[in-house]
Amino acid sequence: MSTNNEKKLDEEWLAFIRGDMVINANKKWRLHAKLVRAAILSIMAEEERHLNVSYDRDLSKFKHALIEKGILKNKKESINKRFFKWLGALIFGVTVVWATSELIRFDKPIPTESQVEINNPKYESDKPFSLITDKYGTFTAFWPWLKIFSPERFHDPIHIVNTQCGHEGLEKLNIKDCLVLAEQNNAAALFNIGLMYEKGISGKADFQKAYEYYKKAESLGNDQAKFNIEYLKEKNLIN
Amino acid sequence: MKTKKFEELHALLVSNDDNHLNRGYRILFESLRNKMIGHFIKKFRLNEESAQDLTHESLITIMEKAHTVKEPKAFVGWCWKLTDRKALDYLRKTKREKIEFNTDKFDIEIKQQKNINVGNVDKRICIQKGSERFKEEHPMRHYALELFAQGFTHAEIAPRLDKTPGATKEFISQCRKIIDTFIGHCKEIK
Repeated sequence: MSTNNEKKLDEEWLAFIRGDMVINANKKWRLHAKLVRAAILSIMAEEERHLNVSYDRDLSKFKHALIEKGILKNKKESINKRFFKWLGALIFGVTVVWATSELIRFDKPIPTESQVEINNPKYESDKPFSLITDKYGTFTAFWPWLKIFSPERFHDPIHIVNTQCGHEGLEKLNIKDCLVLAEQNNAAALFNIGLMYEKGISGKADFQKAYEYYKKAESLGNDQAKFNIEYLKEKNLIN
Repeated sequence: MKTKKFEELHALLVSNDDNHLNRGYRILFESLRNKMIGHFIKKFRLNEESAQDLTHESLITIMEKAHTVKEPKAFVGWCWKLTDRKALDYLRKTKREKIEFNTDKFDIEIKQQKNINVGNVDKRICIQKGSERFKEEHPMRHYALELFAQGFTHAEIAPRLDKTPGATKEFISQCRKIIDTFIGHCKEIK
């Protein structure tokens, strides 16, 4: 066979091996090439099948190695991270919305403590003829005059009382103490009384009265009362 | 996998996006894993276990260093060069010599017809068995034919065989005569 023929035969044979169509090819070699191609492909398929047995294991090994080297990020971890970021953003958003929609108000009493001078209850009656008991337990009348001549027999006319209002929380507010302080124009006590009326601590809630006390407290410079007045107005709790 | 697809793969691997990287590593593994194992076994005569280990290392290196390839067109060639370097390093470490395929033996082989007594078997089976023997004795040529049958051009096959495209063409053209020594007798079967 001439070299040219050989070359042509090689080219045709390789074209068949590649799966190309060749016109007017040598029939004998065409069959030969097709069968060789089929054999090669079958060997390849067999190898592929054999290699695919450990495919999944190798893929997961490869993935872990990439995660360890920091080339890939752990999807599970990043999902968790993203979830917590999202949750944080949600909580922040909800807080902002709540804070903007919710009116500011103060619902804790202001602790106030003061010494208050009050008239001695023993001398409630100013009438000169009324009977009172002196320090030694003797009943006597005309005591305003007697007090001038022998003041040591009588108690002091002014009684100093230590008053506490709002020290033990809202539930234990003592309205009597607060009223004593309120009479002394104590702004904090006025606020506390307003709060008691608003919350209905010792009776039914009375927003109108609460408003009045708040107003007094505000006029004495209490800022918290100012916010509570705004609150009552916004919520249409007062006329 | 053609060069264009490798260019797309390169774009995925150099991306900073996690989703792209996740897609990229899968495509890389899918398209190169089996081929690389085959490459190590056929070209460097490594056993399957070593071939799998080297494939694992090569794929990781590709992932790590893909960004160093500035020209996406060169990515596929770079991958195969890296694979060969890994294999040569391994052979050096294990003190094994690279097996060179001596094509000078070609003429002698042709003269020695492989007279195999196939008996009364199917022609297809005869050729199948002959091809398997051809693979055993000429793994490099079988590898070249495999790549050729998959539709790779001489230029694409050349870097995998460490040859120039011209030498690759010559190498593949010789296959017909060599394989004929293994399956020539099958032609007589009707």
